[in-house]
Amino acid sequence: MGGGLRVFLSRLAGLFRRKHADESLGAELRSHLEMLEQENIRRGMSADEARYAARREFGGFEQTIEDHRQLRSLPMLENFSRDLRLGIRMLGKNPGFTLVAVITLALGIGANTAVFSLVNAVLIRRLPYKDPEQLVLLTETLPQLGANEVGVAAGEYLDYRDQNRCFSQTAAYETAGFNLTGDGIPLRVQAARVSASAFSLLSVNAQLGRTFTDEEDRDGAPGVAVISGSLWRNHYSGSQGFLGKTIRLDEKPFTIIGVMPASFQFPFDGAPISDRADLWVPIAFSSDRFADRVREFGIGVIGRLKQGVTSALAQQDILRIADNFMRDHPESYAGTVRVSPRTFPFAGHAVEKIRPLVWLLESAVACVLLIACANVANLLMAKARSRRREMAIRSAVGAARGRLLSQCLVESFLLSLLGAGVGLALSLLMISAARQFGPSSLPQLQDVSLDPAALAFTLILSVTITLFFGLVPALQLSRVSPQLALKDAAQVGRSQATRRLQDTLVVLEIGAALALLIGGTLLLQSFVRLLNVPTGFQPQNTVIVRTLFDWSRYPDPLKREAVQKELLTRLAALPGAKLVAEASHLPLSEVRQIGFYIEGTPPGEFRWANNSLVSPGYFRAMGISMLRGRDFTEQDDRMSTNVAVISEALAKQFFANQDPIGKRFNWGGRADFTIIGVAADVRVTALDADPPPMIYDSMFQVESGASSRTAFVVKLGSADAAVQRAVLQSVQQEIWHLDKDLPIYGVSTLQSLIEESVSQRRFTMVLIGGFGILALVLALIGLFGVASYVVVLRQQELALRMALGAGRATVGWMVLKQGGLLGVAGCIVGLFVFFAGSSLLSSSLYQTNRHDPLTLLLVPLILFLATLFASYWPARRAMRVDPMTLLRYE
Amino acid sequence: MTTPRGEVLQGTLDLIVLQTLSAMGPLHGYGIAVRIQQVSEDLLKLNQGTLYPALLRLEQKGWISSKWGVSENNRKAKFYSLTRSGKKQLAAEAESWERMASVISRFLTGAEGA
Repeated sequence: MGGGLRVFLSRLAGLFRRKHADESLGAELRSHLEMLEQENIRRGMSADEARYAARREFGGFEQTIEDHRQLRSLPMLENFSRDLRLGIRMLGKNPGFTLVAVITLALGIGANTAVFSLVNAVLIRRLPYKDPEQLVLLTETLPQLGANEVGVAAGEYLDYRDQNRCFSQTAAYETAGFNLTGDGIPLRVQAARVSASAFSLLSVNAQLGRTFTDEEDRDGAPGVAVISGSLWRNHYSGSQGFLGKTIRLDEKPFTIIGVMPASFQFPFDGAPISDRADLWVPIAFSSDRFADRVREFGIGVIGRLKQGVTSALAQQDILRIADNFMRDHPESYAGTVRVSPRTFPFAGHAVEKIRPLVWLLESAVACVLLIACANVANLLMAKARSRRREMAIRSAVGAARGRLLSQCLVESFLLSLLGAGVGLALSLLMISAARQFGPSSLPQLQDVSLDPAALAFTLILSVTITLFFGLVPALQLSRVSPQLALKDAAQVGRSQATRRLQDTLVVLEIGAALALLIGGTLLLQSFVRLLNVPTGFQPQNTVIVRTLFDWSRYPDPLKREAVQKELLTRLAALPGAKLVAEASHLPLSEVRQIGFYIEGTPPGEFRWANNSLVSPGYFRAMGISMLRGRDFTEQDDRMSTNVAVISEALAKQFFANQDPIGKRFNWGGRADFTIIGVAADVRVTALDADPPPMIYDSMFQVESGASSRTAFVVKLGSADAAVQRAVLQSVQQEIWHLDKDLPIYGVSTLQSLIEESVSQRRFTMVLIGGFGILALVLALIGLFGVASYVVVLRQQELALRMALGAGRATVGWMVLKQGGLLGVAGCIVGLFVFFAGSSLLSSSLYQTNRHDPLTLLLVPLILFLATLFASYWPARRAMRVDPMTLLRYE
Repeated sequence: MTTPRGEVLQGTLDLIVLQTLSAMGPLHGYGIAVRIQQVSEDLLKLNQGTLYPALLRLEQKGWISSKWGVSENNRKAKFYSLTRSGKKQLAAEAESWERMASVISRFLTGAEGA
């Protein structure tokens, strides 16, 4: 239909030249009439006669113009653009209404999209591996030692690998860290040792080069390494020639054979960026790892379930294998050393702990969205009521019902479009804020991006609601004749149905807000309580700097000790430094556990405790009080008796009613240690976890796997930030002065260790609290809007009452009472909502009763007062009504 | 057949306008009206105003084009002329009209004969 298209296009073009076309047609017609006139005069008519005759012959002048216009235009588009302009004008005329509606919509859409995107990224996202639902994680627990999910030991891995019937393939991995040297600045890289099978099991190939083979995954094979895409880009500027090059990891040579794709994050999918492995080397178990079956756990195992094997079957299968090997090696699995293996879905395991938190956020934001939608609905209904008269008039003068409907539609659409635009911007803002300020324990936050599905869902929901309630006036009107509507418009009050709906919406809003506020208050209490928990150490004005004396560079412990001691002396001499010490592990950052036997207990009574190797003076520098006995001294050296300081918790647990000083224990067959002191308990794993039993050893007396790790602790004399910076710089200089190849990392303060450890709780609290306040504001706006609107509607009634003798106070009280009643109803609903959902909170609360009576009493009370406050202004307005003016006006 | 009368008339008017422009060359609206009245010897009573929507329709279909110019007595007027596709359209319409007319007349004469 070339002709049809042509006509359409010329009409479309006509839309934009309407004025010009009108003028042109006018000129043309006038010229026509003049020619007619002239002709008539030529025939002998008078001027007037000629003009009238011309008009007659021409026919309907206006009709011609109108027909012409009709032909030029596209009526639908024409009407739409008229509605659009009218809509924009209406929105501009009520800036208050528009602003509130748009902000409300934007907050609902923005918050919901952001949190939905977050939930999607954290909980629902599929792993970037083939058939991820077939992947399971296998780990062991030592129930009698209270050691959870410790991984497996090397010998056990081989048994699981060779004897299972449920997996099509298995792989082992271990996390590791290396000093990467050999080119440029020394680099500390996070790495993983993995079995060669890992890559094929996950069916991920190298993006460049290759992954390693089974032959390379053998003890004694030449070292090979695969690096991550980001290490390749950032450190080796993405150069192809890098393959085949030799690097040094902890001074041992490794050949780079491949680069993994950027999406490959193994072992911890979605780990914090700082913890993601950037380098993979073969796990290549050395023979000494099999000598003692239970000496070292910590190997992660993943398996791919065979087709049709359920996780329950797999669980049975691995239990059978564990029973077998424990029976076959009675010398290793005795007493308290009994392992209990478990399988977890690989995908779910990483997020299991934060699942309640995410659901909590999700329900909070759903509340906010509900409130926002209810608010917009209420606003639109109020507006509809005030526009009934306008609609009635327009329909009375002949506007078709379709035209009225389409106008309402366009207006609501404009409103939701504005809200959606602002909401989109808001959600982008919130997502980038979450990425920046979110806790590191929610690692997937780094991968959160605006989720199109979430955006679409929220948009559709809010746009539908807006359109629906925007249509109400036109729909209502179409049911009654214009005459009736006009008459009705002069009547007083809301219709019964509108009133019930509006009041219900307000009550629900207040209820949702109350539930959120109670949740936020409880979280705040719990957070404050947590921050006030005694940590067991004095974190003020203390800086920490970590380094690593790796074995290959410092094979001689005495040489390392000399450097460590020399550094202690130098740091102590720094201006501003008050106390200095060193430790292998600091509280709230790193955890290490060791196993031991207490002298005099039956063989097999194996115990676990947390451990740190410390220098003399550590307890003073950290501000940990010595409860009994003494600290380590310079005299506790490699020649003297092995000594240890234990924590109060350990003393209580294992030496109840005895004096632990002088008691002895054996550390994993290494040596016997005599207890010389008891130190106060320290929160080691987390602020909300009870202090575990703890053994301190002198770092200048024992050698262990932890000996290479050294954290310098420098207590400063003042809280001055400049001093702190200066000291940190000097510490760095002193370290590099002694050995320029020592890596420096983990520069921080004790205070920030505490803050980092509560970052997830802070995040939750701020979010829920923020949503609570948001909900409160929205609900109050809703209440205020409805109350004001009711006052406007009832003005005549109020005026009449006043004219008949009701006092102003009585009238004001009426309005206030109505708001108050809605508030009370809202609080009751809110308490129900809270009780229904409060279990979501429990995992986020620390030593706080989620049904704390005081909170459950005070928060509703405050909310009730707030609702009275929101009704106060409308009430005042009602009192200001001047009966005479109003009644006369009628 | 319940074709509304206006529709038939409209089609007829289109054909008349096209034929007029083809015979006379470029003309303004008034000229077209005068010419139609001359040719039809006032048998066809035409409201001259109805000419303009018809002209616009033809222009939208691309059969005629318009240009502002000056009339014989020095008046500004819009001149319409036949386009190439207008000529084709005229030929096609004239042919179909003649065919239709001959069919109709054959029916009429046939009816007479019976």
